[in-house]
Amino acid sequence: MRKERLRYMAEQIARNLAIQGPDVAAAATAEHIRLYWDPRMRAALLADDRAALSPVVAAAVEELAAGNVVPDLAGDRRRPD
Amino acid sequence: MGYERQPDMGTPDTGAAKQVCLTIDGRAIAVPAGISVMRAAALAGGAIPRLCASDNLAAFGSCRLCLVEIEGAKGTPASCTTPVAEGMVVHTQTPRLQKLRRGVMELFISDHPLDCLTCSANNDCELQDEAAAVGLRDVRYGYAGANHLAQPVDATNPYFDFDPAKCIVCSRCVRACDEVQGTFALTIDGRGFASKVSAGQAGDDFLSSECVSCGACVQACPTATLQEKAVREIGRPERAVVTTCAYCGVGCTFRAEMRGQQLVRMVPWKDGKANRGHSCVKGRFAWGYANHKDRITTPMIRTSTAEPWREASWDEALAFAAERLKAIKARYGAGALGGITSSRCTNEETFLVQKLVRAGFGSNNVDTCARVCHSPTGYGLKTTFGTSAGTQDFDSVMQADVILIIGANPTDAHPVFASRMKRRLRQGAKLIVIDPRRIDLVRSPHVAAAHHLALQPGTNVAVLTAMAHVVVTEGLADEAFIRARCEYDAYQDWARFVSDQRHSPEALEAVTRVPAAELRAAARLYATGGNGAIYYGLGVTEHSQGSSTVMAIANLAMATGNIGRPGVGVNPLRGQNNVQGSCDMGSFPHELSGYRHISDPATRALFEQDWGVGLDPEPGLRIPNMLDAALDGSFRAIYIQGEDILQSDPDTRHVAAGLAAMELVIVHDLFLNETASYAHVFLPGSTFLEKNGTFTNAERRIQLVRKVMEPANGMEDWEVTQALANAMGLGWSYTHPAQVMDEIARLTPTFAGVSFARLEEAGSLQWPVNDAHPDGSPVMHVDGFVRGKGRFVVTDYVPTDEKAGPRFPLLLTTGRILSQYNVGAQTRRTANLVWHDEDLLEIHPADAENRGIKTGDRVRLASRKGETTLRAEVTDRVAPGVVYTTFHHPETQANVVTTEYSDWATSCPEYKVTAVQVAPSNGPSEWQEDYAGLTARARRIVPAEPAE
Repeated sequence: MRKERLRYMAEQIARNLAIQGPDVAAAATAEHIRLYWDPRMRAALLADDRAALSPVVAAAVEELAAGNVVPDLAGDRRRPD
Repeated sequence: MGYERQPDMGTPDTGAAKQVCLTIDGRAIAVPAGISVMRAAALAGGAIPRLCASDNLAAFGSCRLCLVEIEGAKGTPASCTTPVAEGMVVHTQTPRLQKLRRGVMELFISDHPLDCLTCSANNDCELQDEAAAVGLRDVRYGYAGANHLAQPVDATNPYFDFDPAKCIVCSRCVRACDEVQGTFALTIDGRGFASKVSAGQAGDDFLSSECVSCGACVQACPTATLQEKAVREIGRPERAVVTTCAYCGVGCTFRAEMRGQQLVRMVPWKDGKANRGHSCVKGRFAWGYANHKDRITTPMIRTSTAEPWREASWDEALAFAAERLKAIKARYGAGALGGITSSRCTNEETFLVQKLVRAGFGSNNVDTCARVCHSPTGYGLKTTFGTSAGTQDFDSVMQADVILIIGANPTDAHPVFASRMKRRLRQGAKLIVIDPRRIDLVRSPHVAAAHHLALQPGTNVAVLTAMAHVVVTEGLADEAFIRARCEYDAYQDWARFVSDQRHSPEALEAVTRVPAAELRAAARLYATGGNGAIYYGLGVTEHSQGSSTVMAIANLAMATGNIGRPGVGVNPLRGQNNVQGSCDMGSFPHELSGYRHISDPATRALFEQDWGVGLDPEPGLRIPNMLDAALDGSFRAIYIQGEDILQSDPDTRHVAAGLAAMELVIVHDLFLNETASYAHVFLPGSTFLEKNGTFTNAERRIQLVRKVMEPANGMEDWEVTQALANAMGLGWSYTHPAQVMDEIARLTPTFAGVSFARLEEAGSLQWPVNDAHPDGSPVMHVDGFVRGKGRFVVTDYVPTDEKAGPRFPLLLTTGRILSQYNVGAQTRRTANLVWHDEDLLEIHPADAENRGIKTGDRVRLASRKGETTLRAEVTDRVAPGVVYTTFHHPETQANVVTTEYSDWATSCPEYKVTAVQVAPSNGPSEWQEDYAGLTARARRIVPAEPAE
């Protein structure tokens, strides 16, 4: 996968979540990537040079690498009535 | 069903709950208050002769054929304009009435050709029927007097003729154009004997007039004056089958009127709850592609795209595809395989494609065209409301007081719903349009927007945040609704955010280019004008902040309490006929049907148990990621049903490179589309006329698609997918799409109560259909949001990275036109080309002047990604600095210039903002020349050897 493209995508997610503050944005970025990215995309991002990433994305990558990201899927199980 | 005309009660229903009792021809009957005597008589089982009345038009009282006698009343009033009254005693058949009606009919017939036996409307003509009903036997006036019989036929419209010689000037066509379509293209020109139906100004014919060819006038005509050419050519239909249109997300239902296996005409079904008996030029007339000479009905294969296609049997083609799929999976793993479902195909077909990918290929690499249109709707509405769907039915618009349209052009892209909307606007509802372009609704006959916020492309979030700023800081928020229905802490965070002075209309004016006073007035109107309904389209979603904009819309609706009842809501106008359905069916790589994440063990277990196979718990690749992965070698094979990603997806060169890098591309389609130039297997598809199934429209309405003719390719599309699955050894054994729907229902809570039998019985159902809503849900979130409490989400404006600058100083935005549909694969193969045979570039007069460009000039449109050429249309419909084009024609390939920038949350491409330069040109671009050569080579076909 093109690492520049993946880096851009991660940074774009982080920029749109940045209003929530760096800690929440990092956690939300990590959760978003965990929920929507194919494993090979995540792997490529995790293999990227952390120094090339913004602090928020770098923190998100740390969370993902540590396996700490457990998305809340309760809404998916709620009956739509 | 056999062929008979659709029932017509003569005048509209009032819908009144109050009943009135009266006696008609000796029969006592209770009817809704306010209806006409004509309608009451129809309800009583009688039929009063009439010619100028129809139940989709206001009573007119012109033809004088429907006269009745009412005890105690003077004269013989017209039954169409006389309302029922308590105790009224009506006589519809008396010698006096018979004499009067016969006299009226004599006058009509004295100026009408007596060519019934050779007339195309013979035995399907209201004038003929009523002449018989009144017992007309002769015409005392003779036929030699002044008449209109020599008037020439206007045959300029490609689909219907106007023969004024047969016109009785009943005005039904004019009123249908006014009241039903809302275009006001027709009029009665002249007075008295000189009166005649006229399309527009003197000298105009139907083609050059404002007529949008919706067919409402043709449907309204009681004679053969306005009639489909196909009826004249083929003959009177002999049977009719109700089915669902395969064009836009309105989901009109039609009677396919047939003669043998030949489709004579598509007539909008009056009982259709989405269209209420109306249609547009596409659904009504543009079905000729089904039999177009370009249609491919034989499977084809080739080992390399450098080779010509070789025709093959189904068995050979399926085995060829299956062997390669299995080999690629064995060599590179399941992650190397994927598929794309089609938003033009049925729910059942879509469900089977995603099942094939997940359960057969073994990956979750499945995506759909919603990736490039409404994926942000899925993300945004699920996050804020709890599920990915519009909140209202279409009927809801008739109770709206303020209609806010953002990033949508309903008169072009959703024309039948636009007509309903225009009807409500003519009744007095207020209109706010947020769009960089002056769409027709901003000002059209009897409709004018109260506010048009012509924002700078890419600033939707800023505009909506500024509107929210006005709502909150001016105390216009609905605190009671918010406290009762929403997460209050999240609301307070959001309210603090939008209240910040930096989000005021004045502060953001420099960004949005929307005058602050205008924006404030629009926000006040939406918040205080009564029922506020938001309708949006791809001008919202196809941005780098598409998902943020959807959430900003949801925030605004919640903040003003405009959710959970008729007349309000958040309504995504879906582009294709089954975008809603394809999303519902689990077409996204991260979720199974019903929008449940693939990583949820409980959900996955349901499917694993039902399908008897383990599923990958990880999300798969989206379309752009599949193309990226193809270039790095980890994605090798794709099965594409009914989509043309080469033309529809952004950055064409990248799409082409990704497809070219794959070992196996299977295209399953009606035509050798642009994507097929890169394909190794072509599996012929079936049209919507040739299959059974269901579509789900933009209002969550599930409707049956019924087969009206046998598939030209020999198989319905669900059968093709099943055959491919079985060639891979999956052992599927569906014998009818109803069985697929049963599987969907048992695996998808929102569809739990849906079955073909229920749909046959109810006509249509709006999901959720389950124990709590056994008859479906016209309006969602009535007592609470699907997610419980509505969630406000802070949506910060983040400018797009696509910037205009010295090299590319203009911003390109793309869209659709009425007569063409998406990539044009269908409509370009119809006579709709008469209205739009090439993509044009709209450019403001100032920008054109600076570049020496005039209307009709060929211009070069260049971006950082590529360049193409097309003709210019100089118009102030677009603002200075903005240019606009459509993407219907592959010769233009508008997506050669669009970029890979996309929505941050869903990767929906940013089609609506591309920095470009425009300059005069004297020939095609290099890409266009190369592409013409490529397609000519790629479409060579070697016919199969004839069997011995």
